[in-house]
Amino acid sequence: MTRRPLNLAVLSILLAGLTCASLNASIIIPTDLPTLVREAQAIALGRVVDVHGVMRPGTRRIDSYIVFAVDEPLKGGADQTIVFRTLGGVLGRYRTVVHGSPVFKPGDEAVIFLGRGTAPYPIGLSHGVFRVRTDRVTGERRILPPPMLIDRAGTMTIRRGDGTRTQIPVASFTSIVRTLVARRQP
Amino acid sequence: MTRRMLLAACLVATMTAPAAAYLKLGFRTGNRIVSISWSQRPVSYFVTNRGDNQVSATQFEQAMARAFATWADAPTIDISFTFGGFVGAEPFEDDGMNVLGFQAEPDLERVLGATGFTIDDVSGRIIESDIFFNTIFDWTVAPNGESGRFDLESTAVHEIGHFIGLGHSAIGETELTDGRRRVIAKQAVMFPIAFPTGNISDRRLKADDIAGASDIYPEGNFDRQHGSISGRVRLDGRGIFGAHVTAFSLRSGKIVGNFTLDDEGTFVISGLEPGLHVVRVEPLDDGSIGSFFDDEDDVEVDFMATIAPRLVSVPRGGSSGNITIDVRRK
Amino acid sequence: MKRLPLAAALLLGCTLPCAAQARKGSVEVAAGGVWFSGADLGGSTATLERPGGGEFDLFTTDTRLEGAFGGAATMSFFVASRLAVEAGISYARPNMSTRVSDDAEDAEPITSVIGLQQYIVEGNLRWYLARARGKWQPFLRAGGGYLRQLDDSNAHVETGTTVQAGLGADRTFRERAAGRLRRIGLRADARVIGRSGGFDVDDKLRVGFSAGAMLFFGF
Repeated sequence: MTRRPLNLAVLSILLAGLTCASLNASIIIPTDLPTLVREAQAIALGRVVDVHGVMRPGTRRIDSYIVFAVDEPLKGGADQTIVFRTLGGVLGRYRTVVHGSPVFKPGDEAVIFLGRGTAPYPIGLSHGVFRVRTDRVTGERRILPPPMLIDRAGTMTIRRGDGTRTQIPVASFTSIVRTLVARRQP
Repeated sequence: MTRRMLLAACLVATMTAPAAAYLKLGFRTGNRIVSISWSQRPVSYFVTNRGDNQVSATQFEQAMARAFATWADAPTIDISFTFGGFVGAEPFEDDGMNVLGFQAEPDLERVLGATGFTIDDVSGRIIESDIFFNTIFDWTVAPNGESGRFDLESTAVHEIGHFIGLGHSAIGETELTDGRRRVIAKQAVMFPIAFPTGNISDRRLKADDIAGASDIYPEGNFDRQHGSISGRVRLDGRGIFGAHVTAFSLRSGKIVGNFTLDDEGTFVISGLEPGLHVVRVEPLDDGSIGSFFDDEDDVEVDFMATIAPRLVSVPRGGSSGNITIDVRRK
Repeated sequence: MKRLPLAAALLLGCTLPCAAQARKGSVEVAAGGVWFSGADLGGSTATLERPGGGEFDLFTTDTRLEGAFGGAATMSFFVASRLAVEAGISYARPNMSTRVSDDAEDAEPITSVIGLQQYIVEGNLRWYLARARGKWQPFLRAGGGYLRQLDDSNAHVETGTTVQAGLGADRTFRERAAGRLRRIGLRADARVIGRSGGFDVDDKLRVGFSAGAMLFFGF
C-alpha cells in the first residue's frame, strides 16, 4: 500500500522532466519524377538495416542516420550499403520530429532518391522516398508512383483518386526509373 | 515490481512514439494523441539581428510581426504574441528563446523554411519554438510581392501556423508542368506546397487554418458557436487510415478538412459553422503522403474520391453524430 | 369607377347565408393533410484560390427542399359571422437534397440528402366571402407563422418565420342549430407561403405553395 504512491511520484517526476526537441520541416517546392531522377546523386532500391539519431553540435536538432542495404542500385555508385540522413530522430530522452520528413525503421523497404552531400537527405524530404508496400491479399510488393507526365512539354492536373494511377509492381517502378536514368546518360 | 515494469514500458512508448502529422500537431502516448500548444500568453519571440542579401533584419522583423498579427487578430483564435527584441542567437540553438531568423541550409534544397519545438512530452505544452528561413532562396518583403522571389510574410504565416501547433492541410490542387509540381489552387495557408514566387495570397488565413487554430486556442464562445462532424470512412466494409475528409458549408462556402486517424476510419472535423455541409473523401495518392503522416505505410490510397450520400447538419456547439461513408476501390 | 363598388358588393355580399350568420362566437377545430411544395434553394460552388486570385472549382452544388406531405390541425374562433381567428400547427418530413457534380477529381455525381422534421405554428385570419359557390363557401386566409426544422437525428434545430396567404372553401355536410356539435364539413385550401430561415443555404425569402384538406367540426 505504501509503495504505489511512491511509484507514481517517481513516474511523475520522470515524466515532468521529459521534454523533447522537435523540428517541423515545412513548406516545400516539389518536383516531378524526371526532375527527381536528374537531381538525385544516388537512387537505390533497398531496405533499412539501422537507424540512429545524431544531435547537431550546439543545438537540440537531431538527424536520423539511416543505414540502407542496397538491393538494386539505380543511379550513382554500386555500393552495397548507403548511409543517408533524415531530419528528425531520437537520441536518449530527446526527440526531433519533422513534419513532412520520412521516418524509417529497420526492415522498411523503399526506393530512395538522395541529394548531395556525404550523408545526403532524400530530395524534397518525403518526396524522394517511394516505399514498398506489400499487398495484404496477394503479397505482391508494390509502389505508388508519383503522377507522371508522358509529354514533359505538357501540363497535367493531378487528380486525387485518379483510377489510372494505382500502385505498380516494384519491378515496374524500377524499370521506369532506369529508363529515365538512361535518358540522362550522355 | 510488475507495476514498475509497466510504468517503464509506458515511458518508452511515450518517448518513441512518432508524432502525428494531423491538422493539429501532436504525438501518440499509449492510446491517446496529445496535441501540442502554448499554455502562456503572450508568446514572446526574438529575431536574429541579421538579414540576408535582400532583406534587412528590420524588414525581417516587420514581416514576422505582420505574420504573427495575422494569427493573433483572427477573432476566434485566442493567442497573442510579443516581440522580445533582436538577438545574436540562431534558430535551433539551445537558448530557451523562441528565435526566428535566416539560415543557410543548402542540403535542404527544396525546403523554404522550418519550425522547431521543444515540448513537454507529457502535456504537449510547447516550451520553445524556433523558425528558420532558408537563405538559398530569394526572399522579398515588398508589399505586393516581387517576381522571382518568395514572399517572406506568406512563408512566415505558414511557419507560425506550425509554431502554434498546426500540421499540414491537404486542401489544395497541384499540377505537373515544366518539370515541376506546382500548386494551381489551395484553400489553406497550411497546405505543404508553397505558391510560386511573386505570390502573396498566403498572407491571409483561410477557413481551414482558422478552424484548426481556433480548435487549439478557442476564443471564449468559439466552442458554443461552432460544431463538428464525426464519422467513419470504409473501403470494402473496413475502416481506412489516412483518408482526407472535407466539409463544405452550403451556407458560407467554407471548406475545412481533416483525416481519418485510425484503422477504424474515424474522423472528426471541428470548428465548423452550424448548418448543412457536403462531406467529401479523397485519397492522398498524389505523391505527398509523407507531408501529412509519419506512418505512411498504413495510409490507404487505393480508392476513388467520393461524395457522402448524406448531407450533414452541424449543430451549434455540438456534433453531427456519426456518419459512415463507403468509398469505392480504384 | 362604377365597377369597383359593384365588385365589392359581389365580394362581400348583401345578405349572409344562414350558416355564416350562425357562426359568430363559435369555435371550430379541424384536422387533415397538407402538401408543401419544394423550393429551389440555389447553387453554389466549392472553390479553391488560384495563385493569381481566380478560383478553381472543386465541385458544384444545387440544393432544393423537396416537397412533402404532412398533417395539420387548426382551432378557430369566429369573431364575426364571416371572420375567424385561427391558430394552427402543421408537421411534415421534407427532404433537403443537394446535387453535387462537376467534381475536379471525378467523384461520381451524387444527390446528397438529409431528412428534416418541420413544424409550423401559425396564426391566420380567415375571411369568408359572402356569396356561396354552390355548396362551397369560399374564404381568404392569411397570416404568419413560426418555422421549426430539425435534422433527422434531432441534433440540429433551425428556426424561421413564415407568411402565408391563399384561398379555400368549406363544404358543410351536416349543420344543426342546437347541440354541442353543430357543424361537420370539409375544408380545402391552397396558399402561397413565404419562408425565411430554417435549413437553407442563404438568408433569402423562399416562396412555395401548400395545399390542404381538412375535416372541420364546429361547436
